Amino acid sequence: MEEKGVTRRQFIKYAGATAALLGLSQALVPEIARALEEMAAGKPPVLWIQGQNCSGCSVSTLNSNYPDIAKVVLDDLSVHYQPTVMAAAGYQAFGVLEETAKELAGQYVLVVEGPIPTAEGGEFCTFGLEEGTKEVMGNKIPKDKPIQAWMEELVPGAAAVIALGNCAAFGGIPAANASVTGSTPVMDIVAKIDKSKPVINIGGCPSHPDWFLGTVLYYLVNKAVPELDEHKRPKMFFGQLIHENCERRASFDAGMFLEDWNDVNPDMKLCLFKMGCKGPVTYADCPTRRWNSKVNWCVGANAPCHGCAEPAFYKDLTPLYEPLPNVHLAGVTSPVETLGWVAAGATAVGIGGHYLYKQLGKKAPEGGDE
Amino acid sequence: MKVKISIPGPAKAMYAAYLSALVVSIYAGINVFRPFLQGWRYPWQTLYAVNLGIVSIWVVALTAGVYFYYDTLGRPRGWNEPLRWFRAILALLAIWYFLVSYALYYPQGWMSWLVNGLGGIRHTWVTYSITVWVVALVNIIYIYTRWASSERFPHFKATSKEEGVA
Repeated sequence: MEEKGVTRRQFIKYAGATAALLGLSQALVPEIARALEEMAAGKPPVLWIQGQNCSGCSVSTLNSNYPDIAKVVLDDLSVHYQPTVMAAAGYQAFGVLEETAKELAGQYVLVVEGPIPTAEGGEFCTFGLEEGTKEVMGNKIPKDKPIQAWMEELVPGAAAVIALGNCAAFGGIPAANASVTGSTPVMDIVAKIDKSKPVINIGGCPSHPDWFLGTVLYYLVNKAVPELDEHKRPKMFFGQLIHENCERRASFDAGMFLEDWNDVNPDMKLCLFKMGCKGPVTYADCPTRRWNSKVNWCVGANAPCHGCAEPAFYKDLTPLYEPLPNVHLAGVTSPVETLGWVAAGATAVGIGGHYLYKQLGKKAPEGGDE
Repeated sequence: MKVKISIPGPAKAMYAAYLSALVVSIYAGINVFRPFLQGWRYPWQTLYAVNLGIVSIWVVALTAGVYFYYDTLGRPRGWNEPLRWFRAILALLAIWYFLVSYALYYPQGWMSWLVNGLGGIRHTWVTYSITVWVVALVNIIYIYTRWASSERFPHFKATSKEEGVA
C-alpha cells in the first residue's frame, strides 16, 4: 500500500467506508482491512461478460467513486475481461477469457450483464468464434460463438456467478412480453449447467454500484455468499420496501397525492403513488442509499419509482405511469375500479329489480305475510 | 303454515362478528392499499390501519371457518335458516379474502408462495382489489337475499286470498 502512496490512515478510512457500505459494525473495520490486504495481494479474478444488455450496468458501476472504481478494478480485483472498458480486443481478449477459465478454475467470479438469448441456437448474442463454419448466402464463414456457449464454458469453473442488473437477473426488458430472442435469466441458464453453483441476483435498471461492489466485497471478506432473499438478491440491499423509507411517505400517510404533472408545485413533494410509483411493491434501499454518490434518487427527482429492482420489471410493472395494471376480462381491458363500479351497478339494478318484482309484479304467495 | 326460521344464538353472534370484522377489514384495506381518500390523515394512521386490517382479517377468517364448519358438518339441531349453501360459499370466499389480504400485507412472509403464484406483488394487489369488490358485492347480495327470504320482507301487494294491503 505504501508503495502506491496510500497511507495507513487512508487505508483504514477506506476499510471504514467499506464497512458502512456493507452495513457492518465499525468494530469489523480491522477484519475488513485484513481482507482488503489479502485481496490486494491475491487479486481475486473477475470475468465480466455481457449478454443482451445496454451496458448501462457497466456504466453505472463505473460511477462508483467511493470506493473508487479505478482502485477496485485495478488494485483490489483482477478484472480479466470487461468488454466496455478493456483495451484488448479480438483474439487477444477472448484468449484471456479462455485462459482464465482453464487456469483459474474454481477461483474467478463470473459477472454476467444482460440475459441469455436461447432462440435460434443463441445467435442473437454472440462474441468470439467457435470451431467450425457456417454458410451465409452461399459463403462459408467462421461460426460465431453464442453467449450461451460461453456460459457453458465459464460457469463450471466459476466460484460464484453474479447476475448484474434486472435484465441478467430476471429477464428485464429483453424478456418482456413476446421475446422473440428467447431471453432467459442467468440463474435459469446456470441451473441447467450446475444446480449447485451459487448465483447472486443484483436487480436494478441499472444496478447501483454499491449493490455490486458491496456484494463482491462481502463475498471476498466473508468467503461466503451474503444472505439472499427468495429471488436470490442480497437482503442487505434488497431487504426493505422502498415505500417504507420513502422521503414522501408522510405525504402518502397524509393522503396527499400528486394527481397531475402540471398543476402542482414539485416542492410540495406529494406522494407519486397515483402517478404510477411502484415503491410500495419494490424492495431496494434506494431512498437511503441514493444514487450518483448519494446526490439524489428517482422519487427525489420527482420521478415515480418504476420498480426496476423487482423480478416483475418490466413486463408486469407496466404501464409505468399507472398505479395498477388493467384487468383483462372477456376481451375488455379496464381498471379494477371501473369493473367494480359496473358490477356494483349491476348488483343494485338486480336487487332493485327483484324488489320491485316482488312488490309490484307478482302477488305474494299464499299463507300470510311471506 | 310456514315454519318459523330459527337461528341459534352463537350462529347469530358469529355472523355479526364476521360482518363487523369484514367491514372493518375492507375499510382498513382501502386505507392502506387503495388510498383514494383525500384529505389530511395523521402520519401514524397507516400503522393503525395495517394493525386493524390484520386483526380484522384474522377475525373474518376464523369466524368464517367456524361458521363453515357449523353450516356444513356440525350443523346444530333446529337451525333451519334458509340459504345454507350461500353462506357456505360466503365463508369460503372470506377465507380466500383472508389469504389474499394477508399475502398483500406481508408479501415476503409465510404467504409469499401465493404472491409468487399470482405473479408478484402487483398482481396480488390487483387480485386483492378484485376480491374486495367481489366480497363486498356478494355479501350485499346475501344480505338482500336473506332479507327477501325472511318473514320481515315486506309485501305491499295483496295476497291471492285477501284483498287490501298486507
